[in-house]
Amino acid sequence: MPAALSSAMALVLDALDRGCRHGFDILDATGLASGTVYPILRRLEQDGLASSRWESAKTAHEELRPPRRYYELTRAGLLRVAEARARFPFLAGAGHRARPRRA
Amino acid sequence: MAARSTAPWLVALALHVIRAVAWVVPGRDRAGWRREWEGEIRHEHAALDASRQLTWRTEMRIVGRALGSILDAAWLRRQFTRDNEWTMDVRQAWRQIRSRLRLHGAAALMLAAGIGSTAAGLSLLDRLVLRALPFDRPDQLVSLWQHNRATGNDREEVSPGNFLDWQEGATSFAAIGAAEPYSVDFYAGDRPEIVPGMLVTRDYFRVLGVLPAAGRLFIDDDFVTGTPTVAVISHAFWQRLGAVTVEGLTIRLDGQPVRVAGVLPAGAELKLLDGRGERDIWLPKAFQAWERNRRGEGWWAAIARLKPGISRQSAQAEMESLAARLAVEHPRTNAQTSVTVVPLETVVSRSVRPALTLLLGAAALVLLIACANVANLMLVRGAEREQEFLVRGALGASRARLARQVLVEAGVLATISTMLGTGVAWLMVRAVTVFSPTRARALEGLTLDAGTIGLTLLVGVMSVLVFGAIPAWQCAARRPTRSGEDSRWSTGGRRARWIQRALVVAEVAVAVMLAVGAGLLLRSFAHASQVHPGFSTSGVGVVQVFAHDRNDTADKVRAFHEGVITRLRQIPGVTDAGSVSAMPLISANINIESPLAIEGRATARPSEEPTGFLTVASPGYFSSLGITLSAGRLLADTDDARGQPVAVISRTLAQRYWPQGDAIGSWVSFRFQGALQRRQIVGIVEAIRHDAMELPARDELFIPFAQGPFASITFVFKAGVDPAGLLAQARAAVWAVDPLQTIYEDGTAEALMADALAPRRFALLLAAVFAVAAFVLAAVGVYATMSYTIGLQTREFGVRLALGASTGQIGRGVLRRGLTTCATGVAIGWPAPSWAAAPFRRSCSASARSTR
Repeated sequence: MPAALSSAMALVLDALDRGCRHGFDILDATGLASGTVYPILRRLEQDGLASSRWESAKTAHEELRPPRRYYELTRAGLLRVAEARARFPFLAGAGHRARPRRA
Repeated sequence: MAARSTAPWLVALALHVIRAVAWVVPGRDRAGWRREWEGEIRHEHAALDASRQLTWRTEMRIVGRALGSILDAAWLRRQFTRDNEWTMDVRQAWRQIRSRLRLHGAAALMLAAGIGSTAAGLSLLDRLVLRALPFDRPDQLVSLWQHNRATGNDREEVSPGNFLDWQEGATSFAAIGAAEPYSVDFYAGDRPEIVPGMLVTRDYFRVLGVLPAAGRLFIDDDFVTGTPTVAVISHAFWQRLGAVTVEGLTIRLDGQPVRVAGVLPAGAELKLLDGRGERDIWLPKAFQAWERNRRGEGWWAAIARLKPGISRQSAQAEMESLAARLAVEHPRTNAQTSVTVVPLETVVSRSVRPALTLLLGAAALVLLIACANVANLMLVRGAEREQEFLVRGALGASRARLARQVLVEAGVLATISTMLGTGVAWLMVRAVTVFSPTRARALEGLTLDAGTIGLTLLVGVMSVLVFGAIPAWQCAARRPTRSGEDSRWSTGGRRARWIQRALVVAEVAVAVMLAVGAGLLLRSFAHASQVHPGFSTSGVGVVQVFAHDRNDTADKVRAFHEGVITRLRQIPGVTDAGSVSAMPLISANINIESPLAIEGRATARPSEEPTGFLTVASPGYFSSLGITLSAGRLLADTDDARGQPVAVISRTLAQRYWPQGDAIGSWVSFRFQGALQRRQIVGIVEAIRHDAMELPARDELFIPFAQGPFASITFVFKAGVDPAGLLAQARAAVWAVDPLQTIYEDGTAEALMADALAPRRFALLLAAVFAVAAFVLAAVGVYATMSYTIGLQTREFGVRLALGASTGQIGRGVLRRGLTTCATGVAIGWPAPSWAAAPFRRSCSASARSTR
């Protein structure tokens, strides 16, 4: 059963839609705590609203760190974003916060 | 711009957090999870560094985010376990238990009682029997005893001559050592006190293979003739002295300074011989010339370590042939002497064995009842839930799956019970250490250790198998062909009913068994406490002294004795006072058994000649202890050194050797204190039980103190008030005569009697507690089962009533079934204790014999 739409989940969906890809970027964009955002990401993935992939090993290697995981909304996820925006009007004005620091 | 960070370790800390938390993440996701978090942290750090934003604050933020991973990992773990079938079973089981909290709570408490008492019993067994010897290779350790074939006593103490011959001749042993009881006067405060000790031979500690806790044990140079100058002390005694090191530690023993060479580790004191308390001092034994040829009855304890590969049986065979050789060499003393080789462990644990066997047996039975009860409840619950299982079966659950569900429920119940049971075990172990009749050091500090908790778990698991298996099997065997409706008509089918009844029968049988067993013990206790010991304990106080050391001549002993008796009589409240060399029931008893030659009779063969125990007593002894006269007269003050040599004998001795009743006036002769004595019997007194109430009274011959002053003296006094309050004055009476005389033991005769009965009382207490517990458990179990089954039959009864049956008929049917079940249990349980009691009786009388 898909999880009920909470405001935190709406924020995460919104951030993903605005182009935030990585976990910490979403933290920056939403201002939520990592302990909130990550379980939401797991849940979105479990419910098929988001999918995740690994960054190419080459990029990671150049920066001498493990590859980062990035998340994308699926088609169902995009539909859910619309629902979220309808239910939580503050998201429309939240655009100025949901600006990725490094796109 | 903020200052650059000076703490790169903060990032390292964040990575450590991730590494640690990763263990919470289920294995299949762990590597990816860790990589993701590390990637983010390292990237964040690098980005901050590149944009020169690395400050304390930003780094702390990274650590904060890393801590958030805990919630992430916990979420993943919860998802994982939720999907797990076993977890589902456990949750389901927990729901089941909660839905019937009272029923399952009762079941858990019953199990906890059973598991806890069994674990407590096992931990005591482990400590007192299995690990009674805290030495290397304890299986190689044996003790050697003289086997007196004439009396049949195979645990006779060893004489020094025999020990030396054994030590020389035996080849089965890697080392052989001996210990001689030897108590010393220790001067610490203003009053001297007696410290029980041992004189040990060169190899004694080598046999045990024990290492000192401090200092050293004995070396060959310590074994010199003359008074000992070095000592090894017990750990407890060392602590009492309060010394930090043994370096230069000197104590005064028997008035002489003795250097403390070393300290034995705690628990290495062996209680080889009976006597007061534990040994605290070991001194090197130097053989006297006369000891080398002293054979016959001994007073030593010998121990040995078997050579590797040599069995106790072959050592026994070797020692027997050695004894046969010695019998030829020394026919006068050794003709009837053989050797017994006994595992040392049995000697050390013999006093606790019977009580422990009883405790364990009773605990196991209570556990069995609890298991039967719980199995029954589970069966009934199974019947109640038949429909649930049928539906689940119809939906595709396999029988194995359903059986597993039942087993998991049992497991959850057992886990809860085991936790409670650990608490019960802890309480019981505490109780045993507090109430135990033998307040031995072996019990000191005994508490639940990891091993015991492991045992408790094991017992818990075993009990799951016992009480969970039957319902699980029932469940698996159930045919899903019957309609769900069917099940409401009955209580789980004929087979289930049979199993239930069998379990109830077993429960009742076990409970009856325990109750009858407790009853038998109660009877034997009542018997033992009603046995007339031959003397009266009421108002009697005793003070035991060994006066040899301070009074080397008969006249000095006589003067000391006279002085103390006079002062005892002056204590207000004391009505009478006397003395005896062998006080009944006292721990350091003096037993001098001697052949008696009765004048006017043909000399008997050595094995058949009359023997008796020689006791020195003052006239006041008989009046103080209320020993009644059967014939003739008692000893009198006129029977002094100038008077005619007389003796009084016990009724048993008179009956044994003068069956015609012509003892009075006869003359007997015997050796006493190295001299031949000839005495006329002037009186016969009631015989006295010296050792234990279940053993026969003693064949005793009393010599008047004035005619044979003897320095092992127990002063007795009779008071019109509680003698316990007069003991301090009684001790003062001794010290008024000789301030440096040590007092070996003092107390009331009633306390001596209570001590003699203590092991029995303890066994009785244990048995009673367990019998009551078993009965309550069985009653609860039978009630619960019956009410459940009958409750489930309500519809059946309704239909039968509708078809014309009367309520009386139905009631009678229910009652009949209950009664036949219980009656069967009683019939099985009733005779069982008499079979079960046999080994216990054997061990009981064995331990009573060994205390002689």
